[in-house]
Amino acid sequence: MPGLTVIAGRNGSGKSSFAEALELALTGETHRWKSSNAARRKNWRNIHHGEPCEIRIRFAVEGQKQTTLGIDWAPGEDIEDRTTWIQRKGEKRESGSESLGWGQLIDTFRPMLSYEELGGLLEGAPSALHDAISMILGLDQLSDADNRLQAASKLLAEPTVNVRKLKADADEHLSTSADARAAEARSLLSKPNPDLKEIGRLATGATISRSSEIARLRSLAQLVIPSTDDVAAAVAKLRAATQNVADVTDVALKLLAERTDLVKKALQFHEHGDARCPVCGVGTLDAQWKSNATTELHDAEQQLAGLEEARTSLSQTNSAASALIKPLPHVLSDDELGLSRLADTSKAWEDWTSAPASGLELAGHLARTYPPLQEAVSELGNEATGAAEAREDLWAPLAKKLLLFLEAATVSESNAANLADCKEALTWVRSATVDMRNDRLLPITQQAREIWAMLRQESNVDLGAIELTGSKNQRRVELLAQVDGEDAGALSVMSQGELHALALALFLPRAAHKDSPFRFIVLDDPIQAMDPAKVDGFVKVLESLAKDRQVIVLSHDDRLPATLRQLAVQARILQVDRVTESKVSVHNADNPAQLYLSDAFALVKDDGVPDEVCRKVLPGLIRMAIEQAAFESYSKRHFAAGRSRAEVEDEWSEAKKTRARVTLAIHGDSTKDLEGWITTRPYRRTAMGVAASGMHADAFGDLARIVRDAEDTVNDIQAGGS
Amino acid sequence: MSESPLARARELLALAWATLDRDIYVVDRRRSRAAALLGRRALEELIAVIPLGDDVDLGSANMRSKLICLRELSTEPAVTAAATVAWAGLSNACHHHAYELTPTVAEVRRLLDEVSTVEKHAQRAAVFNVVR
Repeated sequence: MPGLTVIAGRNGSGKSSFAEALELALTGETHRWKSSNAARRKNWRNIHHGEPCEIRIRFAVEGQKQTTLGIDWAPGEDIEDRTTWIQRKGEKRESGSESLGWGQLIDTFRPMLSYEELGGLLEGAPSALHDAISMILGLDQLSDADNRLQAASKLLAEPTVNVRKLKADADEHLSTSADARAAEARSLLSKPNPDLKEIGRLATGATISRSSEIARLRSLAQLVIPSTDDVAAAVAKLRAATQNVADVTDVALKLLAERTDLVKKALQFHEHGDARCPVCGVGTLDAQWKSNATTELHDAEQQLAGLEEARTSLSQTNSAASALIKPLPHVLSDDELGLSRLADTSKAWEDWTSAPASGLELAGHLARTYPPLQEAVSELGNEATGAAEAREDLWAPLAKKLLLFLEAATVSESNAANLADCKEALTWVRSATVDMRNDRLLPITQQAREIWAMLRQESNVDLGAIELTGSKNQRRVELLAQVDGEDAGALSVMSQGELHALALALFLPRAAHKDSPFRFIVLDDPIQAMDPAKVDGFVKVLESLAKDRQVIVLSHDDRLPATLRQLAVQARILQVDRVTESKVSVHNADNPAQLYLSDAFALVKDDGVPDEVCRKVLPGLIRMAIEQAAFESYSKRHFAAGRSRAEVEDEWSEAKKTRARVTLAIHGDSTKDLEGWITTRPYRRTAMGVAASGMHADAFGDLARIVRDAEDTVNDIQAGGS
Repeated sequence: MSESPLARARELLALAWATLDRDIYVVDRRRSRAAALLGRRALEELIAVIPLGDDVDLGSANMRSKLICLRELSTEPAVTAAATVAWAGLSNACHHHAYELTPTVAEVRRLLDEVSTVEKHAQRAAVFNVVR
């Protein structure tokens, strides 16, 4: 229920115990405990009534049934070993208070402020003040974004940092290598923007130039010579062909020539006509003979052609065998590689190439020079392969270094765009944070200045802008102020009392912030160091705060209650007294309804006030007293039931007449009948009548009696009807 | 002293200001309390002349009653508040209180400002009454 409640009690009367119980229940700590030492923290129980030890706080929560927050301690348990629970009316008790969902909000809006805490806020670390104020600005999401972007930037920039290290590392290792590729890699690395593809090819061996050692070694390892079979076949063929030609030439050719000559001559002889054979004298050289002789001659010519063929074949075999012999390969003249078998191989190859032209000599040459060549080439191949492998073994770790660099450089390159975006976003978030911070700080600054204006009274300090500046460890709140018109930092020029008032001015807006879900503010002894003049201003502040929220102030002296009474501020004043043995009693000292009644009694008692003035003024006071009591009773019940504020207040505003309002308080429904309630007690009819239609000179008798009737009625309403 | 209560009140208030502003000699340590006393007297006169309705005459009623009636009958809450604050403050300032320091000049100045607010209203009301 909105309104101002002051709980007054002397030092040690136990009123702060109420505030601390609330603070402990809501925050799990109390400011006073946090700052006191362990020895003092030991004695926290009531010395005389240690058991049971418990805290019960009842909250009216909009949209929920009346909620009780409880803390219990078993006998002998330490303060930390408490059991916390909540219970909504008619529901099961729940362990812990998390389901209220207040945890972070309590810290953000801090609806409880104690004198010590207020002092600490301005005297403590500048960053703490900064955090306390920036929390209410609701910029968590932006600062969260800021943090995440920072983390992302760091992550994205990491490979780039690594790239430099890996590059230096690779370069250092490469510099110790004699491998020609190392020099090439170093020259690639030394460029401002190294060609990553080329470095990749170099490291993986995807491109090897023909002139490189490794290429030369590889070609030495893979020298091609004819196979043993090919050489053997060529030798055999050569020999066979030579033999064949020799055979044909020696025998056939000679025989054939003689015979051909003889036949030719016989044929010439036959020109002279048919005759007996002059050689044998038996046969006859006739037509038949001529025909046979011509055919034979033809056959002989055919044989000659066959011989020609055999010779051609030999020549071809010669060429084919010669073709097996390739000139000395270029690589065999390369002596930079330091291979021991190179010279022998070169020599063997030269022997192989200095072959005779043809025939059996050639065959003999091939058969003689091939085996040494084959052996030399094979040995050289083994040596070159070994040398190449040795070089690769040396290169592998270097290639690995290059690949590590390559990997980081590639990631870094692909991160570059994201990193730039990230940094841009961070810049934007920061400037947006500043803008939003200033926008959201403005209403708080204004409210703080208004409160300060009411509290400052005689202070010559004018509060100016409030700025949140700096970042990280340097973050702080800049309070600008003018002292007698001169610019000055606020904190340095203020007295203790002024600092205190300033802290109130700064933190009441936080507790009363529109986004706060808490419709209550509890202030523990806020006016300790205040001058009387400031108390006046403070009362005005409290009055305006209490318009739409519940304000509870604990006060150790009578100044605040006295000022409230003097200034006729509507406030409920509770008196806390310590009776005996640490028993604390609380009683109603004043409440707004009773204030109206006490005004009414004062008027009645003052003989100087004429009767007709009393009759004119009293009905208004009585009506206000009754309606005030009705509103308290009605709203207390309905807020406790979790109904929404707006609904409860609307219903109240709609019931315009006193009677309808009292009906709301008694029956919870303005359309019900109040007559029964009124009839039960005669004084109720008197009071309700005066409230409704005023006082006529003849209608009522004793004025003091009427006010007493009103008082009884108010008490009934406050007690909850019946 | 003048005849009209309003004129009397204004004179008293002027004296209070003069005391506070050192135009009238008073020992420094008594200055604020003297000014408060004069201001309180002025306020008493002013309350008496603020019209609260045709049949309301609070001639001999005490100040508390007068302020209650003012709160209930006046249509000017700002004036009522000023009168209430000024009366409470000046009454405090006029008496010696255990454990409380003499009111400062600035404090009394603020209270006299409140009295001036009441005075301006009374003046306006008086003019209005004459015209009526």
